[in-house]
Amino acid sequence: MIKKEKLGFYSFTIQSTMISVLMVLLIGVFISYVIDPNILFNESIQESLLRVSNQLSSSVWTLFSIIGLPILSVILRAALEKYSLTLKDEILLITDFFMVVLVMMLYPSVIQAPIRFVFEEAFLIGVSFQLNMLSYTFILLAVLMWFFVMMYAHEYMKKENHNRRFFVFLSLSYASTLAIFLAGDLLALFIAYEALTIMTYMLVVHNQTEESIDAANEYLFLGILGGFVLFVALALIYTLTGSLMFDQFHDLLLAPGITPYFIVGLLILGFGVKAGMYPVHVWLPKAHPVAPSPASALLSGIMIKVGVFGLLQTLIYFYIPVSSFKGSIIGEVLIWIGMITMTLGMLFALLQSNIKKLLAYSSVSQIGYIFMGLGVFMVLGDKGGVGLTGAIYHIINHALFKGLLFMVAGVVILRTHEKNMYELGGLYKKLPITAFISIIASLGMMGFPLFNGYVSKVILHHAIVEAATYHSPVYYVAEWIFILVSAGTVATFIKFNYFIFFGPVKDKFKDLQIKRRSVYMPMLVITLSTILIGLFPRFLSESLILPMIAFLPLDEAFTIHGVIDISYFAFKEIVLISGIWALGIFTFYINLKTKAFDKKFPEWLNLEFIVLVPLSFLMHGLLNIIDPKHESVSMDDYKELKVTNYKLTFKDHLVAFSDTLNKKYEGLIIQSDALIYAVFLTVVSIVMGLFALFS
Amino acid sequence: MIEQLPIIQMVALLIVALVSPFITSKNVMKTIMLFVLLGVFISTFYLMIQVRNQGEYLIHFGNYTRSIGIEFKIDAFNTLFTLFISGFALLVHIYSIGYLKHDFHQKQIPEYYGLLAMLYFGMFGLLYTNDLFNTYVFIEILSIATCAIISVARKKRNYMAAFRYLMLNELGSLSFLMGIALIYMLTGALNMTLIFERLQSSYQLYPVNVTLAIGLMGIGLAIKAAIFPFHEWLPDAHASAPATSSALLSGIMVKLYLLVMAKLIFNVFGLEVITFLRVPFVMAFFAGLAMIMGSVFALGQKDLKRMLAYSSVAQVGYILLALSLMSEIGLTAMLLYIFSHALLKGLLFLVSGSAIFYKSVRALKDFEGFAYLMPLSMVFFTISAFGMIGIPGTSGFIAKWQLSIAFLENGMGLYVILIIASGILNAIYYLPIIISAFLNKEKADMHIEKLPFLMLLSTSLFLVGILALGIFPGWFMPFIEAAASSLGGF
Repeated sequence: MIKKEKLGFYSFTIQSTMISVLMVLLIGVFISYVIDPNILFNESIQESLLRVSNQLSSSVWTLFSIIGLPILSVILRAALEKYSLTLKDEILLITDFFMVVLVMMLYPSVIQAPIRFVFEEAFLIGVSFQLNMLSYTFILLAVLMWFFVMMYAHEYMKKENHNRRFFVFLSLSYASTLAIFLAGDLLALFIAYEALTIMTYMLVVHNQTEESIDAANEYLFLGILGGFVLFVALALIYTLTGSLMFDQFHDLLLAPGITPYFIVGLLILGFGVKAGMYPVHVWLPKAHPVAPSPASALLSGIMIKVGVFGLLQTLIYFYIPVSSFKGSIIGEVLIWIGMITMTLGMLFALLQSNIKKLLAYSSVSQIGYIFMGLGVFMVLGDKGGVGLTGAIYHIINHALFKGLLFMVAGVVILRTHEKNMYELGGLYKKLPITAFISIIASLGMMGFPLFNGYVSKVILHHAIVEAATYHSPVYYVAEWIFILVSAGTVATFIKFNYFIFFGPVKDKFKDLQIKRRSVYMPMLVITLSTILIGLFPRFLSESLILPMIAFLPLDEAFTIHGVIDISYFAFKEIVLISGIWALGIFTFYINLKTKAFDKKFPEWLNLEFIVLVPLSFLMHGLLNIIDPKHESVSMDDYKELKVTNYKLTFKDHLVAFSDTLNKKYEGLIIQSDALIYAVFLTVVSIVMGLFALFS
Repeated sequence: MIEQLPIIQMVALLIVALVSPFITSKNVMKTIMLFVLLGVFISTFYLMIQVRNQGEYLIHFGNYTRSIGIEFKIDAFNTLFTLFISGFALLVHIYSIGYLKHDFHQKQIPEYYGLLAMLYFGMFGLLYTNDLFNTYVFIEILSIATCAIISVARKKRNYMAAFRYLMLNELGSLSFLMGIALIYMLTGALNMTLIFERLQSSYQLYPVNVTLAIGLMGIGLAIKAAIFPFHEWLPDAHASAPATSSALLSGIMVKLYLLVMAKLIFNVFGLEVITFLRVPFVMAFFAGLAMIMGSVFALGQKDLKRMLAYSSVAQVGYILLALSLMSEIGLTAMLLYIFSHALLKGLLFLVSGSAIFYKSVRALKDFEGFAYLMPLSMVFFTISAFGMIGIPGTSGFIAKWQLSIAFLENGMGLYVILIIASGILNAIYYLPIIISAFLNKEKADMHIEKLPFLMLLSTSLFLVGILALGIFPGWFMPFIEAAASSLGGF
């Protein structure tokens, strides 16, 4: 039996390697086509490619298969589970391979004209789906990441329970994510967004431990709250404009008064919940670490980007016709939200000891960078192309290196069963490939020249300098925050690598065995991509990001000057990055020597504490008012409420309050039903009579 | 012949009710009921299409004139709701064929069906009639039938609930009757159309009479519809009745009185009188109170069926809120909400019935790990609970959307906050049940209980209804809009 499984494992390794080599070749062909179709194909092939592409894009089944294939693949997987151990996971790779081919085949058609499908019957006001360059890039990123993460998941999930459930909900979340990227109007976006909330819930709660149930509950309630916030925004937009199409609500910003700001505020808050924006990020550092690592990689890599994507979609269209400066106020708010998010995320990340928590807080911090880029875009209007490009570029880069780092964390946890990095050390001898990948990914993360993070950070830095130059000098402060946070990020990831891979080897890991290498294949491919993007910084921005934003009325020459023509390795940039690195290393060294890493933020600074404690006190006070002698709540329950800390018991307090209220009210009524109603009836009649007499 | 169809339906239901005590075999009774309901459903469908094509018409009993005779008005609104009721009744009946072994004396089953036939008879009459006194008669028929249905399971708790129901509802009925008397004093007519015509010219002369009449009738109906401060009978009654009755009572009965209220507002008093007396404001106030307080009370419940009953109190608030807009879009939202909530709450009660049927489980804490015993039922429960919260894809989302749009278009944005707040409270009390049912236990002690086919069929059809109304509301909207405009005369 054991032998058979081993055989199955080897055949998976070999076959998945073959598929991923094919995939790499496919990506190579695609890149060459994107750079210049003439490199590989002669004209007749190009023509037939275009014809096929146009045919595909005119069929609604293409849309259905992009959303439906992930679901089909898990159904197949469940069906094959009995027969073959290898094939069941390979089927996910094979279907996704077809999806990648499908998405790539659509490129020639999409770059010419966006695809659009409308379902007028559905959901009362109709939903629509569209595929333009903006959504195209996100979808391509998602299908590629999914492919490699699935290969990784095959290995990883052998250790976990409820395998089938995990894959079902992972693929459902994936389908909802793709549906969000494909959404052609706000309603479609909202529906897919709600679906994603529920599907991802099951990923977060996967281990069914108390910790994961708590984290997942928080995620779910914040997600549903965010959903309701978006619901209000949608209802307002629909009432004001009579439509939820993206391109029709530009009139909204021209509406008088405070309403447009209110709507944009609701949108930012609603989408911000998913993105992990500052005041509503509290779920993210809890939820991402408790999910199984492949899910964390996708959650942090792709799924928090849906919030940013939603914001991007709406803000882009809000902005289009506006040259007056309503957009800039929104932009300023976004920049400062981004600043707060990146600073706090970095600070919390620096103080974490749990590997995956550190990565999750770092995701919060990086979302701050992306928000800042969007903010600059909104502030500068037609000169904002650099900020927008930087934000999108950083989304792509962050998906790659954060996905990779979560996979690294997954491998480390899989091998050592230890999440606390202070208990680890010296693993580079035992897990050399993992260490190598981790260092490369961290270099990308920290913005070391020649790696991908550097490119987007340079662009974002230019963007914030432009905001300071063209809009208001106050953004020089923002620039300094940006630089300090970057230095903090450097310190964070030096810490991450130092404690896990370097330093003395702990005794319990002396005889750690290395086995099952199939996890490394997908990680190495992504590592390669981070290096390649760093070496050729202009490829992505020129061939994917600039076409994405080409339909906006931006100052094109300005954008190209800011993104393409700049020299990424100019003396100035190198000096800056050296300064950041020096500061980062210094911070790390100081912290290491003074043992400042062991410090924790005081609990009262915790956002949940600040919000929930007063509410709990309020509920408790109300409980005391309506039931001063605690007759209705049993004394034990009451003591329990009193003793446990207020932070966790808000819901319990609420339930106790309503229970007591209920009992009091019912007790009061039951004693004299009919009498009370008769009195009530008379009083209401008299009041209404008086009302009528004097009106 | 076709024009007499409503009367034939009602007579058929009445005959079933009358012969039921003489039928001893429960299987014969179930079959008779099934065929009668099927016949009623099909004929109502036919009637609705007829009305849609050829317009509304009146039926006069015994060829008396409108001022002294009884009049039925058959229009798009009535037929839509009678169709819905007969469809709902059919599904509940299919469920009950499998279900009714539990907490019943087997001999009582024919009587129970007889009472249900009486209930449907009353509902049909209440919807068709265009006569105020006739309305009162049907309300009384409904009260008595409901009271008997609640007490049909011979337990102390049921008798208590039935008694309280009877006392309060008689108060409501009498109050309604007093209102009718005042109106008759003023106008000398009982026919709704005649009253409407006469009232328009005279209401300013007798403001106190009109106000008192509206107050009395409104409160009478409010007690019957369980609008918040008058809801006290509902949780007991709905929680102690068998699941099939709870589904009917919570799903349809309660809303029927709101429809009567709408009929009174639009067809008897007229918008002019109602807005002159600022009734919409009073209604919106009580509706908001019901939405929040119903949910707050539901939070504290420890028994599933009581929780569902309190949730109905909150949902009645939504429907009343929609009615308080008194506009076409508000009325559309109201009708949509009634359909949506009937389906959702019906399914929730039926699923809780399955839980009681197999495991005698009704306390919330017993639902831990319940999904491992009855996975399909819990999936149904989950989807309908999502509907109550307002997750897209279920009918609840469409209903809430329409309601919010209706309010925003009238510039009453603050009410949307109420809708959202109540939605969040819904999430707080529905989600923990689902979470604990699916996740709180390990797979080890899993053994799936199979539902009887008929119960499964009926609950799945409810689910299909919820999803169809949630995803393709466009299929139903023309009918609902036609009903709204025929009711409101827009």
